[in-house]
Amino acid sequence: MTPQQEREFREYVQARRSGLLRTAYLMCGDWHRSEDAVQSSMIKLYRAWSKTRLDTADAYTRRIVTNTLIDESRRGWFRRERSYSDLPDGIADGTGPEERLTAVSALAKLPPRQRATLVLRFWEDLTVDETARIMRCSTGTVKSQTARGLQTLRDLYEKSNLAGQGAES
Amino acid sequence: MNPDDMRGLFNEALDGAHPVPTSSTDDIVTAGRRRARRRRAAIGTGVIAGVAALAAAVAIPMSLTGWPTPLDAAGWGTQEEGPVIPDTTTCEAPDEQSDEQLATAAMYDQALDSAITAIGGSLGAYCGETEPASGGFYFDADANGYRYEAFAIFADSGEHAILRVDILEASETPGAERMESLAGCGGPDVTCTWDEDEQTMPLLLVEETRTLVVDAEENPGGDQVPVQAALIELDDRVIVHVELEEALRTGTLSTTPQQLADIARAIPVGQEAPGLQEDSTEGYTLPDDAALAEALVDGIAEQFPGATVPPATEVEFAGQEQTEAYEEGYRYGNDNTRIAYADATVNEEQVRFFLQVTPLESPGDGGASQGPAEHYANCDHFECDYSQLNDSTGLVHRTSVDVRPGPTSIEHRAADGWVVGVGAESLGSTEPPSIDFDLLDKIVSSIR
Repeated sequence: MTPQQEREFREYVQARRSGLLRTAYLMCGDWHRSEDAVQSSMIKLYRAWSKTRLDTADAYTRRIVTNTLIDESRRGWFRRERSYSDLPDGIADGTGPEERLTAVSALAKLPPRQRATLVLRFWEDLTVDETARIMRCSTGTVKSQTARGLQTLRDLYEKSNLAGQGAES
Repeated sequence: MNPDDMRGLFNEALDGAHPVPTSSTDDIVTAGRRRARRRRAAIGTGVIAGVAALAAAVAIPMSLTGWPTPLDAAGWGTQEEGPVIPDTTTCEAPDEQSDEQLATAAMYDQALDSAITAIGGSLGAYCGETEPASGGFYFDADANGYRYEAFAIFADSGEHAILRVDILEASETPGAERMESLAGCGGPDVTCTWDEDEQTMPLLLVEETRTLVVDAEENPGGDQVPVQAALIELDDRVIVHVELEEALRTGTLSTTPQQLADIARAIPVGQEAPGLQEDSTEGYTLPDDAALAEALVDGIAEQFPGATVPPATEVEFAGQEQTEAYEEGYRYGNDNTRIAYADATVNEEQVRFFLQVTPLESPGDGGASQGPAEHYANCDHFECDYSQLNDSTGLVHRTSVDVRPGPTSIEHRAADGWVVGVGAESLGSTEPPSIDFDLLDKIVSSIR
């Protein structure tokens, strides 16, 4: 990697890391796992940086983060080794306002792939095709995962007492 | 639940958090460099998949475990750290590959291996793992093409290089412009030459002195590494890019860009991988329902000239359990037997012909023999006569006496993996139809 490329890499990390951390958290609900997944994706990106176009770097890191978290969730496993013992600054852990806890618990009820699909589609605003490429599945699968995820949340909200969500189905 | 609702839900889950990672960008860069060093140190430790003879055949500079320093005859003593055992997790399996992609990659691997051997080289994967899936070509969706990266070792010269091959699908960018961009033409210390002698496909030859900076603190100026490359554009605008980057920091690379062009030409891009081709010598694909229906109707028409037969489109299959005959106790065949009916008028007689199809549980087992043939024909419920047609096919003439009287001719095709039979019963009569076995035999034989 040339010095110029390394500068560009550093700028990319500084610009994108926090956003990727939020995306990862929405996918898994655990800041430690999010930190691990994002850090891993950035380290892998470093090694591939000299061959990576800037316009594909986001897709690359999203793919690694998404599939790492889905695989971990399936195995019910998360890394014991923590690079960082403290949560990122400004993040509360555990209990919080009732609304936030309910939103968190609603997302937690989604299967990993449905959850990841909804995050990519509606938080990252990716198209069906872009989401399919990141999740390494067909566009049909993305659509069905989206529909099922939305239905699950719809059902949860109909049963909940959330206020301020306009929870009409 | 609409997109705005989803956004609101996500915002609530984050509760306005603005996470500040506790590790720094420096930490990530350091970790990335460390991983890169470990991969290169795989040479020094001799832990390279597929290069079992490396340590014995080629002298390996021990200094490779660090970043380039003069060879130290004392071994590790001058290094800050000793030999680094490659982290096995540094070798990532490619993304999930389809069967077609795996087969194509295997075909490319084989061709590349032969081509490298032809110029005196041998290939070794980066990783310390032994799983074959961790090396070789793989399809990269981001790049929209197949990619390859491994070590190439040249025994005669003792040189080691990183070999990279990209096979990239066509894009909107014009070929020449794209090739020059991929090669880095116009960059410092990069010499690009279009081969004027190449008549069949555009060929770009590249020689470069590349600056590699692994540790900006220890060696800010980096190392000057010779790199050679060849790029060709195929008829369908696919680009094959072959690059060798010298790996031992000796400053020399004895290969030539023309040799890399030969490697690029040797990869059978666009050819169908052998594993995907139908092999007629093993395995058999059962005809689809439409073909079976057509064969039944055609067979009836041929053996019974003048018969009124239904169109094939009206002949539909159903599981035998769904038939009235089954409810009456007629057992056409074993599990997974499917039935299709064709009601015809033969010599003014209303006859229901049926076609029964059963997949064999273990195709190819046992060849033609009476036991399995009668078992699949359900001869426990009928009168049966067995004969052998050939080494792999048995024929059963089955007669139903009590339930839906009539004959059925059934072939047990052990090699092909299925049992197929054609039978007949009277419609509107309790007597068996006037249908001979030999005519049913001919209809069955025609169904392939």
